[in-house]
Amino acid sequence: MNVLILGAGEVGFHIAQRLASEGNDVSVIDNDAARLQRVADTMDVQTVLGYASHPTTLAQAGAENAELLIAATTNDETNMLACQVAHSLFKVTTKMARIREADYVNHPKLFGRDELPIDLIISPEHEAAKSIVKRFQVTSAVDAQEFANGKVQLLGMRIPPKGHLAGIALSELHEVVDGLRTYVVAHEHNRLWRVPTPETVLLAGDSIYLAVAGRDVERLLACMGSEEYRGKSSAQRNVLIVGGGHVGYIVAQQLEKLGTSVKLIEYNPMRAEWLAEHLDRTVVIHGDALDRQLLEEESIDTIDDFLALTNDDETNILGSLIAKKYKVGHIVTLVNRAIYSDLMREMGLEITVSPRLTTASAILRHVRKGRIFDLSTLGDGTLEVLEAEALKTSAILNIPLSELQLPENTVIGAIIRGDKVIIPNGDSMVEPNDHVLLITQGTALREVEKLFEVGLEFF
Amino acid sequence: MHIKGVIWTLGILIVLFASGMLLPALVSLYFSSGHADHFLIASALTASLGLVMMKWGGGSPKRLSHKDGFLIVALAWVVLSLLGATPFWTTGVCEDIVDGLFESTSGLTTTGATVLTDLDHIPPSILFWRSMQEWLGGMGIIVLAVAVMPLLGVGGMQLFRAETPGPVKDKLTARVTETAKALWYIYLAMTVLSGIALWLAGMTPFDAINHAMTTVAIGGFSTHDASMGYYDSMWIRGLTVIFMLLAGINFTLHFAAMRRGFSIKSYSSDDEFRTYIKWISLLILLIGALTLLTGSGTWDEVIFNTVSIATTTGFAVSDYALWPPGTAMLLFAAMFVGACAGSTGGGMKVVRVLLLFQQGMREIRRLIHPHGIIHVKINEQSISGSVVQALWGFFVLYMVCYAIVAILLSFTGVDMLTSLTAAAACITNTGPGFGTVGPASTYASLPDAAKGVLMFGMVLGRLEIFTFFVLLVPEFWRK
Repeated sequence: MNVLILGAGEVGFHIAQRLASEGNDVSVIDNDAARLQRVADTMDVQTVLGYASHPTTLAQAGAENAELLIAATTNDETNMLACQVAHSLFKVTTKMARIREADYVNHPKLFGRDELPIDLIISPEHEAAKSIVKRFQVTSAVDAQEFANGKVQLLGMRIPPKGHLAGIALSELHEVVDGLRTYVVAHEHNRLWRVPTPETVLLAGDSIYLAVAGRDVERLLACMGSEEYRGKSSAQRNVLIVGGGHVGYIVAQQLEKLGTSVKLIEYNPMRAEWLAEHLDRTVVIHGDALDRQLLEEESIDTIDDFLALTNDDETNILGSLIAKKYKVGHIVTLVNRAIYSDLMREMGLEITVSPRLTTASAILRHVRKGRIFDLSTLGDGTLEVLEAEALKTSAILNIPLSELQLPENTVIGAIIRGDKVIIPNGDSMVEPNDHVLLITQGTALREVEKLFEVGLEFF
Repeated sequence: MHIKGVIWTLGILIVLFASGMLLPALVSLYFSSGHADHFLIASALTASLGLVMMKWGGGSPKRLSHKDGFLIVALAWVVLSLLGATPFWTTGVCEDIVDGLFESTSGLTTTGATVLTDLDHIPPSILFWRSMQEWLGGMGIIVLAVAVMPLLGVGGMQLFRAETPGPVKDKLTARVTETAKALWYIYLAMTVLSGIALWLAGMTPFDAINHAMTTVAIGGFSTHDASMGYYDSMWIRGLTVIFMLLAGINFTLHFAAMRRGFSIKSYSSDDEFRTYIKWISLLILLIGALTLLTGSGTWDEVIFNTVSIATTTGFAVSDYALWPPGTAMLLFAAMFVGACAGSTGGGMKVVRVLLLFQQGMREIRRLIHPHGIIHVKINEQSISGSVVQALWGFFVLYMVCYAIVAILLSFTGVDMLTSLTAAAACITNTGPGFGTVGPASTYASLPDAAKGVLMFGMVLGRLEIFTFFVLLVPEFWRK
């Protein structure tokens, strides 16, 4: 596939890398030569220097033959205009644009074939904010992802040192969880993520992802014995947000709606004024989040949730470490640079959000449309989750899962049949038109996709 | 400053006002009370003055500065108050010159304080003129002029801004003439509706028209000595309460609601409206509790009198001065708060009090969050610092003016209770006070000097201090 990526910032860079490594022909446009150089040095793509919305630049980057355009510059208007140009002059089939400004996003009528021709609007800040708020509601899990409109959730959690999970094999798990149907689909030990087998033993400090029906989430969390936040609803919690950028603002807005009492610390006085004007009940504080006196003034020791969401990774990490020192129970750290993501665990910070990763997965999800409806990544990105429909021609139908030959390192975590969610065991079978939730290692992705796309060949 | 332009504009306002005097003449002819000629004389005198001023002014001013706007508005209110007294003199209803002036000023500023007694025997044309003066003053005669005379269009916004009450002045439409028209249409519609309602509820057509005008203008003149107490009808009292409450709402809000098909939501989402309703409900509850516990009044009297005073109308169905002292203090406070900004009511306006209160709360929250950035907000919109500052300035000046008027009153020999309450009743454009100017009596017994002071207070209150005060500062007159 010929792909055109506009903007070589964090988001553009990451998507280009992913798409190029999957064997697509990628061209990247940016008006900053240094950034382009970095792209050219790291991956096998074409780079074009110029303004992303200019027809000449687009033509130079091969827009004539492009099937997909991803406009990910930092400027909303440039992105929208580029999509229009690509549509009108070059007939590019699929166009995606990054749009930050909520005012545009809130008017879906703006977008369509005859309006602004954008097929998918991506806004990293919204994606990040959404995932932060979602995690806020399931605080005892490290991560929570929804599939099939929330019917199935994948919960990520750490095995605590003390507690009944440590030391058991997965085959014994159902006893611990009180017979609740759940399936461990991913397991991490010593920073190595893999798809577990029934013999896998859980050790303290490992991380796992469990597939569970949406309605059972509460019960599962209760069984797992994460007592810390039980009894405190969203409305009773005290949240401190550091950083009032796009993400911080959206999160504060959403939390206000949940009735949570929110404090927000912003460093830039102008931005703080703006926030105070646009947020309703949030207490906006102007100051440095790393200032101990300020934090104590705002009684950080009584805070339930600390969300470090500035644009600066270092501030976020240091802020989170300070919060940890004050024994804040739930700390979320926004980290953009990959190098830090790897370090977080070492520093004892469990929950990180990376707008770059969330956005990239949102885009990739769309790229792979077809029989595959949803796609995201788990853990550090080595494991992928797919929601796919099993066609009548598919090779996986009507075979008990224990006998099914799936590609290596691949499991079926859940089967969605109409409104029903089946957390499978060895006897479960996939029926035609079922949606299945597959977890697989990145390398096996192609094979898995084939299972669903070209079922005929298997006959 | 364009003195000629100012004179011309004043002239045309006077002519407009003079033509208004022809209506009571028609009323007089209809009732054959024999005062038509007096009104014609008054009208002719007034009109000729206006025409002379227009002639001298030379023609429609090319442009008006903001200073001209203040000058025109302040002068217009003084001059029209003076000229409005001519029918009282020519008909001989007020033998005393000061009494005529007082009645006229009280009418135009929608105060509703009266020196006339034995209203039931006063010619209907005079009663009509009183009511009509209130009605003209309610929405503002200058807003009316801007609405009907497009030639004022250029400087219209300056005039509009100087006359409309409230801390923030909005233009509802692209053109100021349209805004003024919209406001007057709403005002007119409400008056007609109120008139029909009162007539259906059992008033005579004449009384219905008069009371409709004075209710919707939040004025408070009645055609009977017993004021609304004359009517022993739940319907009339209830309807009057509803129309007083409606007229006490910001007309901009009515306009916005009308555009959205009278949705309740556009009212209920407005902070000032919600405060207004809560405030009046609280007053009714407190006053009701005090009154009913002591057995000195009934629920319907409490509701009527409280709404009347809280919207600064000034009607009364019973003598609330006889209620327990606590109620007097509450009503006294209610006068100062007044109705909503942009309504026809007086007082300091609910939104101002709300903003001042929020400003106070903000200082307290600042103590809790020393680095917090806390904005004063109305309808989820931040109010800029300069508006809040202007508000403090207004509050201080308002109180100082009130104190000065009260002190001057006491110098004329009026007792303390009467001085304090009469000053409040006039500066807030309410009407009846306590003491010798209570709801059961009139201002007739006050000395002439006291009436003069109160007239000054009424105009000051109607123009919300600044518009009038700016003329008293020497800087204003410097070139």
